[in-house]
Amino acid sequence: MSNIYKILKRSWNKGVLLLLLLTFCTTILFAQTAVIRGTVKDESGEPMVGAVVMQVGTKNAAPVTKDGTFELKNVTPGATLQVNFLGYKTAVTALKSGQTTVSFVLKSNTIGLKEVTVNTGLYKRPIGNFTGSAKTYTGAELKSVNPRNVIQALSVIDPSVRIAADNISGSDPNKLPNLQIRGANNLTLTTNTSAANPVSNGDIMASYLANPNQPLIIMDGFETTLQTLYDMDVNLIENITVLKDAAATVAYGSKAANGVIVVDTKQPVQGKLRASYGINANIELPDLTSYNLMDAASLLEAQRLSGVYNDPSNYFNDVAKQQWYNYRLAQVKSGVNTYWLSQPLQMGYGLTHSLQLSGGGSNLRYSFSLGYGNNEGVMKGSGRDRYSMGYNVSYSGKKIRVSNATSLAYVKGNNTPWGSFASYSKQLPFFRNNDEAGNPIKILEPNGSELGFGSQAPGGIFVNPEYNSTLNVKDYSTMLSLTNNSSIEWSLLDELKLTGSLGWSANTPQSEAFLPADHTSFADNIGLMGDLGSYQQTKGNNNVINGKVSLNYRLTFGKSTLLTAVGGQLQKTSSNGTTIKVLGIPNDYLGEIGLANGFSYSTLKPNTLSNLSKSVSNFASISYNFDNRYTAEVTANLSGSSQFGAHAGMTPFYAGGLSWNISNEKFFKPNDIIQSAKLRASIGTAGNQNISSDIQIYQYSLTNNYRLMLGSTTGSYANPDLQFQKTLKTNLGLSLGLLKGKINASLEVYQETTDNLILPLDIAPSTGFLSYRDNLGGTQNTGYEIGINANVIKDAKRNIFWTLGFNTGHYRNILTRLSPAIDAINAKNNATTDPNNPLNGRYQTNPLPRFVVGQSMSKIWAVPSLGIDPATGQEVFVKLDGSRTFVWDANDKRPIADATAKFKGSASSNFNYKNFVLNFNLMYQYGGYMYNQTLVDKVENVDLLHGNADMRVLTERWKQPGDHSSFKSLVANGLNGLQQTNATSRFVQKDNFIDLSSLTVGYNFPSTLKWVKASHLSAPKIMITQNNLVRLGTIKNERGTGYPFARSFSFGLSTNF
Amino acid sequence: MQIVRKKILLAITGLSILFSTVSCQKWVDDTPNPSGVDESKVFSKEQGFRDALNGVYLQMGSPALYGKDLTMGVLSLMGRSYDSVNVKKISNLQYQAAKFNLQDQDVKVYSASVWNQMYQSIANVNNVLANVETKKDIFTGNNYNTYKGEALALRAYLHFDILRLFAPAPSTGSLASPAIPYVTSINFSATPVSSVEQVLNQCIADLNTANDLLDANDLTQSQINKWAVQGLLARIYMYKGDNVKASEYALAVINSNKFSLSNNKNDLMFNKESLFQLYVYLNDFSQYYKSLFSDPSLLGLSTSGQTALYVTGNGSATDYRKNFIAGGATTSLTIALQKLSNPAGGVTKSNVFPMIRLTEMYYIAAECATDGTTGLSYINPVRIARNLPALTSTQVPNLAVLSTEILNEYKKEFIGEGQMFFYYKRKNTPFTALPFYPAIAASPKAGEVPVASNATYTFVKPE
Repeated sequence: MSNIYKILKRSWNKGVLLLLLLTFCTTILFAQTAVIRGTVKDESGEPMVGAVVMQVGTKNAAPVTKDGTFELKNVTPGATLQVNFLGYKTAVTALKSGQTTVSFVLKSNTIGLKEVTVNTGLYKRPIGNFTGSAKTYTGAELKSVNPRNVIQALSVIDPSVRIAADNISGSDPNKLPNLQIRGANNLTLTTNTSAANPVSNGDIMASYLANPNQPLIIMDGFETTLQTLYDMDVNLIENITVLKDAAATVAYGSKAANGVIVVDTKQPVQGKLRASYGINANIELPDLTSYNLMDAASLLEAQRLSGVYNDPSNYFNDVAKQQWYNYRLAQVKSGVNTYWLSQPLQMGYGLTHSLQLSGGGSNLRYSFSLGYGNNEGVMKGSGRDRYSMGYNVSYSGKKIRVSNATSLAYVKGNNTPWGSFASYSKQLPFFRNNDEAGNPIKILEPNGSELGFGSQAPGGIFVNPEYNSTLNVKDYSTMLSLTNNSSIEWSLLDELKLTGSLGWSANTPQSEAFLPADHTSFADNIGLMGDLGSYQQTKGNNNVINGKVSLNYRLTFGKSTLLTAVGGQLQKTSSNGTTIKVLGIPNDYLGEIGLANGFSYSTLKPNTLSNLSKSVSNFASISYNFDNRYTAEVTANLSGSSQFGAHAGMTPFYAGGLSWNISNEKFFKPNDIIQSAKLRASIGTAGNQNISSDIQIYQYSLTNNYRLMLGSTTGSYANPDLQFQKTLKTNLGLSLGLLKGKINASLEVYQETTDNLILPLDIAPSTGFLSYRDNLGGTQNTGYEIGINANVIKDAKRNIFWTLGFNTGHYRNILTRLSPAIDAINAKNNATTDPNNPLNGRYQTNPLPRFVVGQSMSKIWAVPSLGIDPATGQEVFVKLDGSRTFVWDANDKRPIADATAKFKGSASSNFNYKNFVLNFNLMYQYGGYMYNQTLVDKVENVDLLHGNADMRVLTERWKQPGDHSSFKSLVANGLNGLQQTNATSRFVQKDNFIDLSSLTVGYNFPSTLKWVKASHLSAPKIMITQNNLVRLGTIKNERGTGYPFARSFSFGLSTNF
Repeated sequence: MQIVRKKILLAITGLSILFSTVSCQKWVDDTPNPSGVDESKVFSKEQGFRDALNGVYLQMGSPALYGKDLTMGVLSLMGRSYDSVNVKKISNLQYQAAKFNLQDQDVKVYSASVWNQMYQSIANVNNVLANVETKKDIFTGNNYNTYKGEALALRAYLHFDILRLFAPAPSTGSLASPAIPYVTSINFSATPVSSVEQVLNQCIADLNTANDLLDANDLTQSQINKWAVQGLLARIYMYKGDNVKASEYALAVINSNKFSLSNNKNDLMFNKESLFQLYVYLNDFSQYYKSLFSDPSLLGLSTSGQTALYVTGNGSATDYRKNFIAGGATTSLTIALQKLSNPAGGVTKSNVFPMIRLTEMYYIAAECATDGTTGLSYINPVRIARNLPALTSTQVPNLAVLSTEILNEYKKEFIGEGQMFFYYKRKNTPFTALPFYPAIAASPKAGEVPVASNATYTFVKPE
């Protein structure tokens, strides 16, 4: 080792000697020096403030001043001058004799400063040597879009990152988003309804099983959960890279099919101890603009019209129901008209503090961070508290760099004790919510016998969900997580680096839900006292151990650069969670699980979910670059996982990419329009292992024994040949730099084909099993993404900058192959009764999915409708043979429209004027369709007996022959106000919208201010961000049925010390 | 430079060893599943094989199979054991089954569940058999032979009953007609359907192997033993119509003297006569029993029916088996099938079903006899043991009368065991000749059960 250094040193010494000698000679020969003046500008003529001009071979250097000029003294005539500036190519000029002025024009490195290298999480690669499709965003960029939710911010600025709209959970702070990159590669065979405590799981496997299309998330080199990213302090993020195509992701092998999100946290910076502190206060305001519910008088009238208050078949009931009508009418006349919607809502306040300390010398560096956040939701009592602490220590020796980072986080998500928002939007407005003293009334109406009526109230007992807020209800989830990552980098040679890292993380999720006996959910339960009140507790723990080793080699010869990375990774995840539910807690102050009466007799038993999986992933990647013009990249991965069949073994994945930097070609003449152009293409496979494991399992009989001996049986067939799902990804990309850096544009076209989708298949029961899983299906996503960034104003002199960004994307999904078992699923979705719940009479009221080869998974299937017959008020349907009918038949369903938009993307504007900052981001969608479920449910699928509905029930439905209405008539069909409309094309509506998703105003205090100086602050700034401020859309639907949507407004202040 | 090279070499070799495919694969494969017990763990010890076979016995005790409907439930209704069948009180499945209306939707659903569960048990047996071979080294003593023999015998037992339910009887000349798949491996591709004769031959082949493997001195009744295997062979040959072989195996069991006839009424189940009996978990058994014999179903045999069965003709009121049934003086009273419950009162203890009995061996031997005297010599020991006088050759002058007496003995002996259905099916008995067939088909009287116009002995296969 030392030999090579000696040689190098010797040659270097020789060079220096020679140079010194030369300088000496020239000095003697001319014996005089000159002052050289000049300018340094970039291609667009902007002054390059901060660049350094130096005389080659000397220490003589001068900075470029504000106006782009420099003055270098003591320059030897005939010397060579060079200008260095990060992000630009070094410019070199040899002085002619007598020359005293020089003007330099610096050429951009074609890529921006922040994109010098791409970090795939497994290896870093200079952008010139990278052929994949990747986008990197800095933490600051994300923060300016949304300071509180990184995932939301990412979906706003990257067109390929999408969050599925969730109209039920709205802006619930405890609901994790459903994230996808470039569309779904899996069938959603079961819809995951949110449980009481959805965000209690920090388990990697479990979160993938819940959303098999979720991308892989890597934080500082290790896999992590969506929840960790969701709860992360944005101030800790250095940057986030989104890896999209095969060339970028294949090193992750079997986990890469859904794309990868790589998060890099801030590393300690050398220097004096620096502290930075940020505070963010925010306000959430519920958005109720899309609700238009009936008032007390209108609802009563609608109920009367739909036959709630008469019974033609039974005279006695008819009289009793009339009495109830009169009673309720009297209430309305007395002025009762409760606006239920506002009852559970509040203005949610939140406060986030974030403190980072960092410093150290050239060897030992350290950083420490503390964070606290408290975000209230718009429903009273709901919120999310986050506490975090972390440190990072690193030591850099001559050849070895060691670092260790630990983070500790605690999250507590409180669910509202007020219940679902839907229970308020449904509530009948002719009930008083509070008594005279202002206390919530538990049972909203006296019963029939109290009033002397012959029957119980139409609709039964109505309870007030508000009442529960007065009780000691518990409904929260917590998670404590501890992560420790260590890594060692060892430079064997300058060009050869060995990296080893070990990561360990442990999470302990817990959730508690306590409903005391007095809770309204037990109000109509006349069961035993011993069963009233319930307590449910889930406790778990999960661990991930992850070890990685990799070897990086870099070789430069002539015009060629060769980069090689080889590595391997072992990962073991284990999780375990137990849920216990007990019944019978009479008093609401006995909110402890151990104080309950017991389990119910037969139905409740403890439930433990356990998972253990191991995976191995080895990769090798080679990238070759010639003359900064041509790049070829090949990456291979060999993956194995315990989740797959015994015969699946180690599965290989390959990807290759090519790129061509056209602007570096000789034939590419410098011109005013195009300055840089780079073409990329890649193809490769990536796997998806987001499924549960398939092993022949024996279940021991818990309750029965055979002659006091244990018995054990196996009930499902584990397919030993089950293979990784593989997705073939192709990507074509073009990046352009136009108009002297004023405009940067990029275009990506991609196709993702999955051929061996894992699907269930029904088999002959004589095999002993009813179904098994095999690689039977196929999907294909084809799409494009366009991004344009324009520097409209770049005036450093006056400190005015304005950049505009625009991006758009589209993808099309097609099912290419399906198993025959899908027919059974389709048949179930066409059945008249719900196969899972025969009592659910409203099974067909939403468009159930149908999976057909050649169609998209997001197609909306409904029966074509010709509208409402003006003569009868009934809906006219078109059968498959084209004939018309009044009768709805599930078999007449046709693909009406696709829910996937034609264009979807965002536009942004960043404007800096002196110290002021004004940013905004718009999201838009065009050409998508949606089944307006909330409209049909609130206007036609109404249950007027039990709940309120939209005003249009009364005003816009068909009433008499000749009415041209888009809503069918109310029917008094003896079903007591229950109206039903099954999936029809009438409610398939265009879903175009523009959403002002963020608006940020900020001010950077100049460091020259007196108070800034006096308080030793540096770079203090304030930022005010508003999220989801305005939404213009073609569909007016009631958004947020279980939890309302919110507009948020946040105020941030940050500074360094 | 040398040292550097060495270091690099070392690093690369280390890496390649660490991530060599072989070691990785091993590490990945060695992942136990925590939510159930992985197959490889179950069969890593001898006990696991016993657990897996017990699992099959437990599955056989499920209500759709021998726990209820293939014994005292559906098959006893079809075997016409009960005369208190009231369409308003029993389920549609039970009533349609009693009418032999096997095309009825409820009966079809039931057939499918029998088919699925029987084959699921067979898959479990096949998995035991597959593992018995691969784990041959771990067995001690005679265990390899025991587990393999028992599993093979169970496979034949289950297939034979599927055949008897879902394929036409050989007595209808159906030996060559397609029957059911005989599944011998655990696999997701369906085994092709074999003919009736092929299935019978495969059952016989499995049983012959089992017969060779099992120990003649192991008389554990709760598991299939060597004598149950021979009894089953007698039953299969009888069904097939091979009287010589049937008689041979029946006599082998009788003459082995390993089992003897019971001669008192202390134990109405005559437990010691069972060659193989299935235990059903007691709590479940009580529930199944009550669902049939308690309110509202109230199945059973009325007092007059009891007299007709046990006393009339060559019977006697002293027949121990008359105690099989208690109550039934009025229709509202529960008729307790005491055979299945403890005579001391209530439904306790006797949570067991005979799967194959010594008496059946005597009846098979009698049925295969070529002359009346020989036949009587096999019936009379059973009659004497049941406290009945021996039949004389004047009472039974010819084989036709002998055959009637055998039928009567079957009816008395196997009430509530489900075997009568198989007897009628084997004999291809005309539906009009069944007990409780309405005297006037159009207007059945109380206690009579009509027969559907499309009546058949063959259940509908779900595939």
